[in-house]
Amino acid sequence: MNAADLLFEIAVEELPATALQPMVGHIAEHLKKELVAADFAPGNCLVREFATPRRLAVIVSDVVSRQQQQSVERRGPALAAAFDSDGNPTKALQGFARSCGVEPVALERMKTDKGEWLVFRSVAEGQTLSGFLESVLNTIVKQIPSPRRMRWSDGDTEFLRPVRAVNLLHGDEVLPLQVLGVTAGNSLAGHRFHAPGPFELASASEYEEVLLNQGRVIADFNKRRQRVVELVEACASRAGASVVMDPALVDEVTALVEWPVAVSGAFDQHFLELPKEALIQTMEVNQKYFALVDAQGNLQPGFVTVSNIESTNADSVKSGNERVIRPRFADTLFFWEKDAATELHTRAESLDKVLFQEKLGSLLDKTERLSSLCEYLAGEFSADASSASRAAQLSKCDLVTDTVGELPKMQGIAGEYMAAAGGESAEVCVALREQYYPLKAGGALPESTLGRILSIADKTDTLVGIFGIGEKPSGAKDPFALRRSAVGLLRILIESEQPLDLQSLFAHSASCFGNRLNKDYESADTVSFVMERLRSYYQDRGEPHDVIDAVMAKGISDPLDFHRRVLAIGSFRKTEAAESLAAANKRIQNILKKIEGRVPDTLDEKRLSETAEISLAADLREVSAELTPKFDQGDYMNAMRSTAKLRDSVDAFFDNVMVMVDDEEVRNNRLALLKQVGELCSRTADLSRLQPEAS
Amino acid sequence: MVTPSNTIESAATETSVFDVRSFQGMISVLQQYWAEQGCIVQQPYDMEMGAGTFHSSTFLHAIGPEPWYACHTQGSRRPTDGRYGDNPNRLQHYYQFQVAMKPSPQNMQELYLGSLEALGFDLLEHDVRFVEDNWESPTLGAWGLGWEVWLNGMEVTQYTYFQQCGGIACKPVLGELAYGIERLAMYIQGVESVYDLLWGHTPSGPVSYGDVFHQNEVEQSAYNFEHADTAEMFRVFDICERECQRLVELKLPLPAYEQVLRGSHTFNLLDARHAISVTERQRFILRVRGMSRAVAEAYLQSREELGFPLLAATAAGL
Repeated sequence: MNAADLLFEIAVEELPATALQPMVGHIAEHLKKELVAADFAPGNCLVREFATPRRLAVIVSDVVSRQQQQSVERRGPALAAAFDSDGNPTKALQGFARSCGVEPVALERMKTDKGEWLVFRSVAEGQTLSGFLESVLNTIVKQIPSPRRMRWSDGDTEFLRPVRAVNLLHGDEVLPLQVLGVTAGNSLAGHRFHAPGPFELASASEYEEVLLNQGRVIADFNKRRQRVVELVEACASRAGASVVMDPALVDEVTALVEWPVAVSGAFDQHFLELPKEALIQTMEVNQKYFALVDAQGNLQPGFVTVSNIESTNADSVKSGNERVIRPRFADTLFFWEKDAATELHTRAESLDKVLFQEKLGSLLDKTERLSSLCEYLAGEFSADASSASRAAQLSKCDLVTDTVGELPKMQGIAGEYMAAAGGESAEVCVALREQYYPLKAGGALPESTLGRILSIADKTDTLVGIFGIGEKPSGAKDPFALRRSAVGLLRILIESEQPLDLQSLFAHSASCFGNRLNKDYESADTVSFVMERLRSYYQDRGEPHDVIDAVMAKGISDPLDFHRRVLAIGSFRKTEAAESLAAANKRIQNILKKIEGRVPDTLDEKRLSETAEISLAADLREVSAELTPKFDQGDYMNAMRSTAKLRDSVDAFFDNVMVMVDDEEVRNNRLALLKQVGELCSRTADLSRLQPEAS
Repeated sequence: MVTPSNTIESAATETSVFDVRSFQGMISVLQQYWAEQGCIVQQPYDMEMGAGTFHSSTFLHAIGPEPWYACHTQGSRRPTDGRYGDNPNRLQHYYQFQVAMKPSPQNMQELYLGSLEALGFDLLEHDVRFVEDNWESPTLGAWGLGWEVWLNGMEVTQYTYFQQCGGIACKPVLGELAYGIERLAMYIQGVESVYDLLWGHTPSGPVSYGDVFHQNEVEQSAYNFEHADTAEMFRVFDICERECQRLVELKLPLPAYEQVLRGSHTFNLLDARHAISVTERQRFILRVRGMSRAVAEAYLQSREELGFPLLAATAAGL
C-alpha cells in the first residue's frame, strides 16, 4: 500500500482548558517519533494537531502500512575463538548460535582487515502498522503528562476525563485496535448541540473538513483561536470599544468552545466606581469575559463573551451572562465600600491573627521584618528610609480586607487604592502594588525605587525564612514559589541596574528572624540558590552556558556585578584575542594544578633571566596597573581588553621559557609569574571554563 | 415522561404540579425526570450539613462495589454565607438537588442535559458548557474530577466523578450532580432576588421564598455570627469525635457517621465566629477527616459482612 495519512483521535468528555495543547503536543511528538523510528514514516513527515474540549487528534502524513524487510546482521565470535583445536564449536560459538536461533553451521564468515569472524545474517519480515500501533498508542496516552487522572463508570481505564471513543484510520482503512479500553473506529461526534452526529469518516485526510462542514467543529486549535480573536474584536468594535486581550485568556476561551460565537453584554455604569482591576479580574478570571475600553483606555460598562452556540435567540445568551456578572459586581462593590470604612493602617493589628508560616510567625511578624529590611535597603538604594519603612508597615494590610478575601489577585492593588484614600504619599501607594511584581515569568518589574525596595524585601524574607527552616525546594516541590521569587529578585536588580550584595542582604534578613531559623542555617546556601537561578535566566536570553560557568566560578553575590561580567565575557569571547588567552589560561591552570605544595604569591623580578619572562613580567605590571581601576569600576569590558594585551607575551613565554627547570628557586619564581598572569586573566571570570567557539 | 419544550413559558400550565415557574414545580420536574432515569427518589437527610454530598446517599454509597441510583433535595448550611437576609444571592441555608449514580452511566452527560430540557431549557438557545472544576473535600477525605456546568455563564450544577471517599478509592465510580436550585429558579422565573422566588400557590395566594425563609436567614445569621456559644461548640466537637470513635468500635458506622455530620457542622459554626485560628483550622479539618475515614472503613466492612446486599439484588435482577 502507498503511504497515506494516519489519523488518531480520542473523543472525550470536556477536557480541562489548560490541558488541551500540552496533551495533543505530547501525542503528536511521540507518535511521530515512534513511527519514524520504526520506519513507518519518513523523518520529514507532516504532523498536524487538532484539539477541542471534546477531542484530541493527530494526523501524521506519509505513513506506510508495513515496515520494509529488515536485514539483520550480528557479529559473533572471531573465527579463532569459534572452534577448538579439534574443529568443534566452542562454548562461545554455541551460545552465539543459540541466541540467534540457528545451528552453528548456518552462520556465515566475514573477513575484515583485523581478521575473520562468524556472522549471523537474516531478513526479517516488516511489522504491520496495526500490529505496531496498539501498544505504541496505549503507551503514548499513558505517558501524557497530566496532574490528575480519573476512572469512570466501572472500568479501569484512566484518563483526564472519560473517554467516549477512539478513531483510528490509515488512509481509508479503519484500524480496530484496543486503545484506552475501547475499540477504535471511524465514527466522529460533531458539535454537542448543533450537529451531534455521528459522522462516518471515509478517510483520514477528510477529518478536519468533515468536522467543519458536517460537525460544526473547528478542530484546529490555532484556526479556532484566530477565529475567536476576530469575532471578539468585531464584537467590541460594534459596541464602539476596543477589547483588553490577554493572550492566556484567548487560549482558555479557545479551549472551551468548538464553535465560537462572540456575544457582547453590558453592566450598570455605577459599577465603574470599583477599581478597574477588580472589574477586569472578575470578568477575566471568574467569567472568562473580555473587558472593553475606550480609545483612552478607560474601562467601559460592557464585556464580550465567547459562547459555544449560534443561539436561536442570541438575546438569551446575552441577558443570561449579564445576570451573572451583576450580582458578582454588586458583591465586590459591597465589600469594597465596607472595606473603605476602615483605614488601611489600622488593619496592621489584625495581621497577628494571620499566619505567614507556622515557624516563621504571623503576617505581623513578617511586616516587622520587612520594615527593618526596607530601612536597610533604603540605605543601599539612597532612598528615604522612613518612606520605605512606612511602605513595609502597610504592605500586608490589604490581605485582611474582604475585597482581597473575595478577589485574591487584588492583593497590592487594593492596598494601593486604600492607602491613597488614606492620604499616604504617592510613592508609598505605588510600592504597595509593585511589591508583588513581577506577577509572572517575564512580567513587568517594579518601576519605582520604593516598589523595588519593598519587592526585594518581601522576596528576601520569604527566601531566607523558608530556607532557614529547612524547607528549600526539591525537585518539582516548591510550594512557596521560591524559584519564582529568586528570579524576580535577580531581574529587579539586574534590569534596574542596582548593585546589591545578596550575601549581606540575606545575612541581615536572617538576623531579623530572631531565633526562628534553624541553628545551622547558613545564608550562603540561599545566596547560591538564588545565583544559580541565573543559569535559566541567561539561557532564556541566549547567553552561552560556558560564559555563565566562567562567571559563576567567581562566587559573586551581587547580581548586577555578575551581569556586567557576563556581558563583558560574552562579547570578549567573540574577539580574536579571547581564544588564545583562554587557551593560555587553561595551560597555566594545568601547570599550576600539577604542582604539589604551595606556589609562591610573590614574584622576584631580579631572578628573571630569559627575555620572554622579563617581558611578560613587565607587561603584567603594566596591564595590571591599567586594568585595576577599570575592574574596580565594574568596567569589565575594558578590563578584558587590557588583559588581551598579555596575549603575545604569554605566547612568547610558553614558546621560549621552560618552567619546570631543576633549579627550585627559578622554577618557583616562574610559577609565581604564571600564577599572577592567571589571576589577572581570571579576575572577571574563570576563562579556563570557556569552550572553544563551537558551542 | 416530561416533554422537552422549546421555551420555559410553555413548559406547563400554571396549575400543574410540574410548573417549572414555581420553586416546588421545579423540584417536582427534577424528581420526576430522575425517577424516570432509574433513580430512587430519596428525601433530605434530617441533620445539618454543608452540602448534599454529606447525605449518606452520596458519601456512604460512593464506597464499595454496590450500585446506587438516587436523587433528592438537600438543605445545605453554610454559616459563613449568612447575610441577615440582606443579600439577594447569598444564603446560609439553601437547597441543592442531588443526583448520585453508581456506576456512573456512559451517557451521564446526556442524561444531565436532558434534565435541563425537562426544566424547559432549549439547548440550541442557551449556551451550556462543562468547565473544569475539580472537587475536593479535605474533611471528607474525598475528591473527584468534573465540571461546573455553565448556563449562559452561570454556574448551575456541580458535576463530579468521585475518585476517593473517606480515603477509600471509589470503584465503581459514583457520578454526582448537585444543582443549585435557587439559582436555576431565579433564572427561570426572571427574578433578581432569591426572596422574590415564587415557591407555590395556595388558596390564600402565592407564597414566596422570602415568605418561607427570610426570617430564618435573619435569625440564623444572628445566631451564626453573634450568639453561637463557642465554648460549648468546642465541647460539642470533642464529644462528637469521642462518640464517633466509640461507635466505630461498636461497629455502628451509621450512627458514627451522624457524629461526623454534627462535628463538621459544629466546626463550620466555630469558623463563622472566627473562633478558630488559621493553624488550629488545619488541625480541626484533620480531626474531621480522621472521623470520616474511620466511618468509611467501618461502613465498607459492615456492607461486606452483609454480603453487599445491593450487588445481590442486581444479580437477581430485582
